[in-house]
Formats: sequence, C-alpha cells, structure tokens
Amino acid sequence: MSACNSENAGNSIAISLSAEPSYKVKEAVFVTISVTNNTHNNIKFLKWGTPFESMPTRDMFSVKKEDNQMLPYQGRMIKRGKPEASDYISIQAGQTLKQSIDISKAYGINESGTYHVQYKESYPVLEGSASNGLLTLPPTNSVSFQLVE
Amino acid sequence: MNNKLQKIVLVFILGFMQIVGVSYANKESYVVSGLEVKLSMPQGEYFAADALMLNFTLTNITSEPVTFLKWETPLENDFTGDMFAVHLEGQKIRYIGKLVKRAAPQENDFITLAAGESISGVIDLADGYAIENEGNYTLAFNKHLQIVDNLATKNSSKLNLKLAPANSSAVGFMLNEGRYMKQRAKQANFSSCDASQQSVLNNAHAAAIVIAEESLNSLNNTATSEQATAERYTTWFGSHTSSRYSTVTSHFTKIHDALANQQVTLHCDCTDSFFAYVFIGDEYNIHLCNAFWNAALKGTDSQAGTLIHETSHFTVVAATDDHVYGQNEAKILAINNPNNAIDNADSHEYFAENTPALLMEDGDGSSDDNSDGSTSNNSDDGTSSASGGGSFDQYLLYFLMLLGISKISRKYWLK
Repeated sequence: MSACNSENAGNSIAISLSAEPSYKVKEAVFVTISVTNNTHNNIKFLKWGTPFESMPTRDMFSVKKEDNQMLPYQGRMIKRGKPEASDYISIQAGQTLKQSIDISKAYGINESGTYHVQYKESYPVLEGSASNGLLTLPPTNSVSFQLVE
Repeated sequence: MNNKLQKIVLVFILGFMQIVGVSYANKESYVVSGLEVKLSMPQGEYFAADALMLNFTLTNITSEPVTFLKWETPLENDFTGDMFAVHLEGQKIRYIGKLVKRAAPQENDFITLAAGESISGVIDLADGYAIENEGNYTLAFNKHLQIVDNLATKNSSKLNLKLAPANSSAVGFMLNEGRYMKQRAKQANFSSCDASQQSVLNNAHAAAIVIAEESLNSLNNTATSEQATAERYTTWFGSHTSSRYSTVTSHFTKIHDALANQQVTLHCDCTDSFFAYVFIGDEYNIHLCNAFWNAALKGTDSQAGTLIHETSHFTVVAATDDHVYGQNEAKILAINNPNNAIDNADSHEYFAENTPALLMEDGDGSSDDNSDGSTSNNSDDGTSSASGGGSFDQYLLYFLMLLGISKISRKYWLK
C-alpha cells in the first residue's frame, strides 16, 4: 500500500518514514516520521498512540530483522483518562510535521545486523469527534538500517 | 517477647483504651445479647460449581436498641474469623479464611439495631471452610458478639463492651458432588507503595478479581443461541461470531487467572496524569499513575477496571492493543470494527465494569449478578443492609461516644 490511502479522498494525508543508514548497538535508534496535510483544512487530532508523543505508547511500527523475523513490541501500553488540550496536535493545510522517535527499547533493537522498519496504519481521533476512523495515518514506506557494534 | 515489642504493645493498648474508652473490667462477664441469629441457605442441595451462599440475619428481640461490633460476623461480607461450626457427618471442617489483626474500632464498625430491627449479610461458605467432599453438612453460628453495654457506657462516659454469646440453630445442606477447595487469590506484591496505597490496591485487586470472574461466568453461561443478542457482549465487542466470542472468553479466562493466581506486582512509582501503564512483555507488573488514585473502586474507568485493562495488555494474557480509549469510542469501534474491539483493552474493561449494567440474556434481568455492585457503588462496599434504622444516627452516636459525651439524655441520640 502506498502513502495514498483509498479511504481518504484526494490523497489527503501523506506520511513517510526515514532513518539513518546505521546506528550503534546500545544507542538510541531515532527514526523520523513526516506527516503532510494535503487537504484544504487544518486538522487537529489526538497524539495518543501516534509518533507525536515523546515515546512509543503502542505497537505502531513493524520492525523486522534481516531473517524476516518480526520483533515484538515491548514498550508501554497506557490506560488514559479524558484528553486535555495538550494531548492534541494540529497540522495546518499544506503543512508538514516531523517527529523523531527512539524505537530501540520498545522493540528490543540490540543485536547487530540489518533491520527493516515501517509505520503501521493508525486511526487517530480528530478533535471534537466521537468517531474513530475519520482520519487515517496510512502505512509508510519501509526503511532499512544497520545496527553496528 | 522482647522489651521493645512489649513497650509498643503497651502503648498500643493504652492508646486503644484512651481512644475508644473501652472498659475491659467486664470482659469476662457474659451478658445475654438480645440478638437472635438466623441462618438460611437458599438451596438444600448443591453441586460442585455452585456458590454456597449463606444468609445471616440478626434480629434485636429486645425492646431497647442494641449496638454491637460487626467484626467477625457475616455482616462484614467476608470471612474475618472462624465464626461457624461446620460439620460433615460429624467431622469438623477446617477454617481456611482470613484471620485479621485489628486496630481500634471506628464508628462504622458498630451497628445499632432498634427494637425489633433486623440486619442481614450474605457470605459464601466455601470462602471460609474447606468444603470438598460430598455429603450432608451442618453448620451453626457459634460466636460471642461484642455488644455495647448502654447502661455502663452511660454511667461511666466510656464505651463499655461486653461479650455476649450469639448462637444459631443448625442448618444443613447437601453437597451432591465433590469439589475443589477454593483457591485463595494470591496477594499482590507492592513496589514503592505506602501503607494507604497498599490498602487501596488490595481492595482494587480484590474487586478486579470479582469482576473478571463475573465476566468469565457471564460469557460461559450464556447459551449459544443468546450470544448474538447479548447486549452486554455486542455493545463492547460488536457483532457476534462464535470465533470472536470464544476469543473474548479465552481472554477473560486468562485475565482472571493472571489476577487471581499469578504473582501480580503493583508499582506506585508513576506520576504521569493518566491511569496506569504496563510493558506488555513484563507480565504482571502494573504501574499505577495519578488518575488511578482519583478513580472510584468500581464502575466506569474505575480502579478495578484499570487493573482489567492493564492485565489484558500482557502478551501472555490477551495481548490487547489500545485501538481506542473511552466508552464512546469503544462503542463506535464495536460497531465499525469488531475484530479490533476484541483486541482493545478498554473494551474488555468496560465489559467487566458493566456500568451501566447490560444483560447477557434477553428477558428477566435476574441473570446479571453484577448489576447491584456496578450501578450503585457510592456507599460502603457491603451488600448487608439494615431494614430501617438510620446510619446517620449511628455515626452521630459514636462520634459523641468517642468524645466521651455520653451523658446526654439517651432519647436525644437513641431512638
């Protein structure tokens, strides 16, 4: 599936993932998500469970080793209360928002080798809506990096 | 006993007597309690899976109010001491319930019954006694109650307690098949939790086990033909398929097992604003955060429910995700995407909390054992209730008593 998602009319949200070519064992592995709002409207959605929180709070990446073995998510899962204003993030029409996030601990990335990472599809909740699924962050391209000693 | 311990005990006893003003001078002189004890069991015969619910009723048969301590009676809705003589064909059955170390009694540890008034409690006999083998059982309440000596209390301005025998006549029941003795739920361990947090968590853990078990029983006991229309199931998990239904059932089997039988460790090291978190591969370690401490014990987004939510996340339990949060979102998810709903932690929590209560079966509404607990959880945690008699009067009475102001005319504060 490409960044163009059929559920969103007119290629509304574009999302891509980038990573460094290599990282060192025992150090942080920051990958960067870019989300572009190609609609004519500003969008405001809950950060929860998206890369726009300071740490992974959900299994939002698919991380594979070279042997195609999927690394299980080991990060936090959180029980939330009511969202507050600061839990929302906005992307103006035409704007791109970037966020880097360390995925090393959440996926136990600690053996040297080649890794392939992709952001999985998610459906963040739009501000003021009580209905999940109106906004889609589609799956990204897959990126590869080396973990070296 | 070493010296230090003796001093501590002495200080404790003196403190106790000062606070409550208990006179131990009359401890050995038994009085007639004026309270009649009646036991009844709704069924005469029981099978292995049945709860052995016992109704316990105390009636004040005098023409004066009687005030007594509810400790170690079924009015606590739990076994806190060996209070029944239980026999199987002449053989005494061993007590397996809790033994409790108490601090000084508080106002709400006392109950006052007006002349002729009754109070009832319900208790599962299998929680307190090692009932395993089939046969004919007999049981009787066999206990001394601590009752307030009104006259002595009035004259001495101290709360005087007296021991009074309270025995019931025996009731019997038949166990038609052997059963396993109830396994006691494993106590949680604590990390960085102070005493008051531990007490909150013990209650939350116990309440979580109760709603997990109730959820599992509801899922297991709903006939296949009624599953598709079971409002409680479809509200939280969406349209019924037998595969999804059995997935949810297996989730609750594991959630209940984790909470009741595995070593849960509760951590009080989190200061984030949300309720709680876990690392899904770090099973049975649950971290409680700020919102948890402000939540109610039971009901929607409660402490008990939070433990259900977090337990469901562990890979070895149900490996649930957080597709959505909150009741509204969870209901919409059930309609739009049942496969995600059965993989969503809050959906499991809301099914278990069952607030407001929804039914698993069409019709009479009596099938829902949880409806009492979940619709009104604002009062105390008991199911016992006085038939009449204002508890405000009781509190006022003991507030006055504890202040030592008991010389006020009795009719002023005793009806």
